[in-house]
Amino acid sequence: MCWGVPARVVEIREYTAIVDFGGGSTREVVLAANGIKEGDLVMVHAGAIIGRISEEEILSSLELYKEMATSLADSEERREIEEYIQRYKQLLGVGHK
Amino acid sequence: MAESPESLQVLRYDAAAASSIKKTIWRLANKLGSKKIKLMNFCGTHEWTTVHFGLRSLMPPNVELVAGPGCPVCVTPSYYIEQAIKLSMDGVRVFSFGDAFKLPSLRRVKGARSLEDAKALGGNVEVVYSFLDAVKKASKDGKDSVFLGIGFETTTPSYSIPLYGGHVPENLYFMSVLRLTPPAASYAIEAALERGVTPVQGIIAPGHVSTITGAKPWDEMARRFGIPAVVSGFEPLDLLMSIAMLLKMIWEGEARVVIEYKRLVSWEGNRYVQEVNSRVFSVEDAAWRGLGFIPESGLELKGSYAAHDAFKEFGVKRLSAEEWSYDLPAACKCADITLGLAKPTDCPLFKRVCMPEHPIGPCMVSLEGTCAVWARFGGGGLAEEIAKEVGV
Repeated sequence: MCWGVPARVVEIREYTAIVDFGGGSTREVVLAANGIKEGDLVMVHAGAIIGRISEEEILSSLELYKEMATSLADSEERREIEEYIQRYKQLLGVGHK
Repeated sequence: MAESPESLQVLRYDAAAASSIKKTIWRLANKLGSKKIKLMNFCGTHEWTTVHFGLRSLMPPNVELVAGPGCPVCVTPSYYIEQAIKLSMDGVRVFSFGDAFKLPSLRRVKGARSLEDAKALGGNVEVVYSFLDAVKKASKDGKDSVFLGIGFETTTPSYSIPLYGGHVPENLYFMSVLRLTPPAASYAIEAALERGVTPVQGIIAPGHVSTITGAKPWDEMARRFGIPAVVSGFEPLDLLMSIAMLLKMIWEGEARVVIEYKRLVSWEGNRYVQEVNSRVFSVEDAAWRGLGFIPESGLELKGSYAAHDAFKEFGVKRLSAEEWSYDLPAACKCADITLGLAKPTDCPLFKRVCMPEHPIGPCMVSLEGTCAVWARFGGGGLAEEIAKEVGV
């Protein structure tokens, strides 16, 4: 039961929301976070939306790692880390060349 | 687990990135010399990721990943399971999550050692996906019902928001066995210090608990014990990056908190849930299975919400520190496994008589129980052997 699963919000109701877990699986869950809108990617835990997943913030986690790792890495590893970040940027559709 | 969006899938399957992060981890571990570094997680899903994806096989010899108290089903005292069995056998409908349904009690009650047994013997037990399902069923049929309310901070809003909003019918009662993670984490770190084993040098803080609490509680712990913490996500690359960040802080002698799981966790956490919880629940000393009482580590209904308190309605006494007695089966090592002081493979029952399909100890029940994860996915060194054979 203590398991988080990402889902898309399909419909907002009074204190609940309908979410889509993918593969046609939808469920009514408790709305336990402010500012959730239809279409948001959210984390559902034990039948409640506990927060909105910010896909953009994935990049800031990677940047945080890059900042830490590049100071330790040799030139080849720096290139690998940069490639890794670029792949995410392309996936997220931000800042790619 | 349901299919994740593409952006999260990459955090799971990018082998080149994993290899790059592994190099950083090894580089940092070399800088730390031969000193043994113990990093502890406090979430069953982190242990699941660690074992399922074979992350221990990627660690340098001096870095040990240890599972701490991270499974609410594992730590629910036997006494409360016994009381739930008794209520169900007396005809009160007991709603339960699927894993708690299989949780064995220490003592048999009317022939049953679990809610699953009770149902087979005619007890009134119903497995539901969530508290909301129980609210709907009880509203519709008006039957007296009890919900066995297991969980850590992450599960609290599924209960507190319907209660706070007045959506819970009068005939549905709540048996709170909710537990709080930071007090248990402190307890585990102190236990290692007291036993004189390798102390915990870094905390892999639970991402979803921290979605509710924020990163703040881990900051207090980092200061108190002088060790760093990283609030981590649950994909394998999240964990690898978090381990690298912890090793870097250990190397630099820093004891602060970093949020790796930025896509969900903030410093302050989910203030809406924190506010609702503070109105619905009070924080109390509470019993943990096999461990005993931990101060201020449980939640109970308070004020007008106590009208839904199953303990009061059905005259079920709460455990007191004086009355609590050791509640694990003979030879079961779940207590030490929960504290990160033993591995499942140290237990004489593990995969001999205690199996996921027939659990003896509570750590073998739920998918986030350390023994259940190791039994299913080979945490006893299988991944390391395979990694050695394929040369990673």
